[in-house]
Amino acid sequence: MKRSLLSAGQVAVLVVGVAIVAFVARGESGIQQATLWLVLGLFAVSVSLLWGYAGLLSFGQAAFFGLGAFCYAWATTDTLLAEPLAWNPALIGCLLSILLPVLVALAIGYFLFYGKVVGAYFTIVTLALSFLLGSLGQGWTKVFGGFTGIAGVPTLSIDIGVGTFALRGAWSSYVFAAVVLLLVVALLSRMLATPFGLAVDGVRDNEPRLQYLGMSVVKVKLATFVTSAGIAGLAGALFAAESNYVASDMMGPVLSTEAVIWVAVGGRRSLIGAVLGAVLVRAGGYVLSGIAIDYWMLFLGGLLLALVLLGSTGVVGILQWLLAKVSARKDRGREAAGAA
Amino acid sequence: MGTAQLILMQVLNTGVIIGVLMLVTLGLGVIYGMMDVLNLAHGELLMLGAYSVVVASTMGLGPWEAMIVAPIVVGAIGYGLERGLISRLYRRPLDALLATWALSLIFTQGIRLIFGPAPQSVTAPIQGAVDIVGLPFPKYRLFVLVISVVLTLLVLALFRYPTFGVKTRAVFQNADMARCLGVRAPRMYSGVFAIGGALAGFAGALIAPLVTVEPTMGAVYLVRSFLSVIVGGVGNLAGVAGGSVVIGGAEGVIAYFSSGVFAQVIVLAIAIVIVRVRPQGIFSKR
Amino acid sequence: MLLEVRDLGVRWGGIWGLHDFDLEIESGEIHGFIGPNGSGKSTLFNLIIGRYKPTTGHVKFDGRDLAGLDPDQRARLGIAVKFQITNVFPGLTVLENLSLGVMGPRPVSRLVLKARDQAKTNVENAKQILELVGLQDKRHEIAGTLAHGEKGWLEIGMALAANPKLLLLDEPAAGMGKDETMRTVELVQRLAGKRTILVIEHDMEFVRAVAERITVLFKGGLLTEGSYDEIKADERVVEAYLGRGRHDATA
Repeated sequence: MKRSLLSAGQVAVLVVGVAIVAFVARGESGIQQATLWLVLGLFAVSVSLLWGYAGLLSFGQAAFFGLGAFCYAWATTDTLLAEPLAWNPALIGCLLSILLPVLVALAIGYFLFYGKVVGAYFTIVTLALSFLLGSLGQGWTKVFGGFTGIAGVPTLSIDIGVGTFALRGAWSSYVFAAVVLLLVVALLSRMLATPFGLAVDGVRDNEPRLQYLGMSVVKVKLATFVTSAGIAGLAGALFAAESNYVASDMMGPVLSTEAVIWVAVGGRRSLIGAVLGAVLVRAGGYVLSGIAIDYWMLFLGGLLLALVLLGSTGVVGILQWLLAKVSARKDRGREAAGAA
Repeated sequence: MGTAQLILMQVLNTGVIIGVLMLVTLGLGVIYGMMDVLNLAHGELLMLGAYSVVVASTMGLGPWEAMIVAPIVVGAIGYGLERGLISRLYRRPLDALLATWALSLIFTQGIRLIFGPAPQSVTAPIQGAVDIVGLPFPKYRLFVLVISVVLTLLVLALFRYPTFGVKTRAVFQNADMARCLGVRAPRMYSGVFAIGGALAGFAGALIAPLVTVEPTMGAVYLVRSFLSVIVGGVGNLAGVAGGSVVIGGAEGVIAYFSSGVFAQVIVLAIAIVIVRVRPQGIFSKR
Repeated sequence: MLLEVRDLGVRWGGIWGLHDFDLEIESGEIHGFIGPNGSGKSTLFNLIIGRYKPTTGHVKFDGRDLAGLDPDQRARLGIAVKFQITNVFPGLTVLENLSLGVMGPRPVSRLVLKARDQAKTNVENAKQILELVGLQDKRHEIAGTLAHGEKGWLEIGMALAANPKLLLLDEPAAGMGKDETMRTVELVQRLAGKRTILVIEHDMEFVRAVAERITVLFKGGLLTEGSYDEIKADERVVEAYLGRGRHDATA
């Protein structure tokens, strides 16, 4: 309980901080951008769960993010169906955005994990799948809007009987995204603090050993994979609702790679680290523009390389290291004072 | 045009795909088999080979000279990469994966910044077509087919040849033991990476006149060659070449009957099934 | 009969790691396995736990043929192992290692749905094992930082944590000094009678102290079987260890 409140608390602080910085820098349009960063932070959380906690590196998580975004778009626009759904399209869209990725992840995961496709092979297959979905999305214009994507995706508006819960304006969207993020982080931390969380740690640390202890590691991996997919899907839906636009490159390898970079930068085995990484990298990209974007991508590649070579645990790791140094110095200071 | 002729055309075209894929996959396979490093930047090495040709022709070199320069340049890059980066990551396979992926990003972005995202055009050194059973087939394509098969066989032979071949195969199978017996493994590693790079670079130079030369061209070859390695079997170079035939052939055949994307889906599914049914690869001796 | 092995063999390329192997183990027995390096002892264990697939023969545990069962399925039947090269969770604490041992065979769904009860049971059982292997003081240490001997005891503890019917110990005293070896002997002796234990060891004093019956392997095959004294007196055993033409009978 304590740890999940702590995590949620950290995220709350981050959320407030980002809001302040974004508003001061660019006013309401800054808040609009920041909302997208939070949503991508949610996506990053899903990557952190799969990679940082379960040790499964996937270069294809955006597939679930993109699918979620498309689910929302299909429910709320007339792309796939003749017209948007009659009842609460946004709500259905969000529910579908969790359900479809979960089902897909269940199918793929079942095949891969029971098929003993592990480690680097797993990563390569997710990469291949990612490329595949990207091309599929570009080619299948009817369903995925082809090259131009689907525009005019409406913002979130849910009919709750007594009235309508609608997000109007930058601030309400931001708060909504923040609340969803906080809830997910709190729930996940709770889950990771249970024996199941320990099993996930075991899979990461020494999967074969866990098998010889009698645990069905396939089930543990599958459960984690599916949960990660659902969270990514929800993030996709929120992203679609917020940016009013969905395109097939939201499913592809570029976004998947970016997500890995966010998590690597922020701290892979840390939910708040994931959010922090996403915000930092995205904010950085936002500040630069035009030609500088390509340099930024180059810089990110170099950053990832450096992080891997140095075995770094990201920003969160650095902060923790600093904190440890500070408290060590404090202890030494106290000892000296005590001795004096 | 008769069906038989069309089929022959398709076979030849598929043959070109397979041939080039074999070169790329051999490079990848040697590196993976010997050093357990999955080089996710391998596609970019191919791309660098293609761009070497672009640069060479801007500098006034003829297309043939450019084709020689490319593997030398990329081979040197491969050598440098191994010494500077890969050698630090041998005991950390997942980190190596990430690092080479970061490298691929750096290469792609770097080339994009230098040359711009627009495709470059490269002229083939051989123009014109040759008559095969009544249908015109580009001479250059035939050349690519022939030379890639020849080169593949040469490389396979090289690794069988006494001294170099035996030493490398020893390191292939058991690096520590080989070291005890006096084989200088680190030098072998750099050498092999250089060879792998040269092969990819040459493949890139070969296909430069045939495909769109742009910064992200390497990606599709990366996926194909990984699937070939996985399907064909690790630790066995001939198997790796065989895997290329399977993957390249399957994609070529299926694409003929339906679309390219559908072919990719089926080929990926086939690869996953094979990995499940025979994890060590089709042609592996284990 | 708890464990029955018939005609068991595994072949890689041209070499038989184990061949024509028969074995019968009664419940509650402590059985030793000795033999020179490469004689197939670890291979036998690996075939029982499902790490290798046999080329010939079968293994029956509690009357049930293990063919086709995955390692985790076999472990859930009650087979636990301590590997020759110590195999723990290096990044987790000692307590966490043991907790994983405790909850290993539990259904994954229960880990999520009945989390609070599970957590309590895990910790309680883990603490009992801590005392058994004498690692209470180290319970919050990261397993990877433990001394070699301590890691070995931790792994034995992990293997015991799920209350296995059959415990396989592959060189439990490997790399240990005199005192540590004594402690390990005492640990195994404390387990006697309650469980069935198969022990591979090179240390003859160890084997003599814990095992009732001993099987001698040589070049992948069964050489002979008997009590310690019988084995010690057997010339073939001496030859196997020391090579032909030597007279020293002290193994």
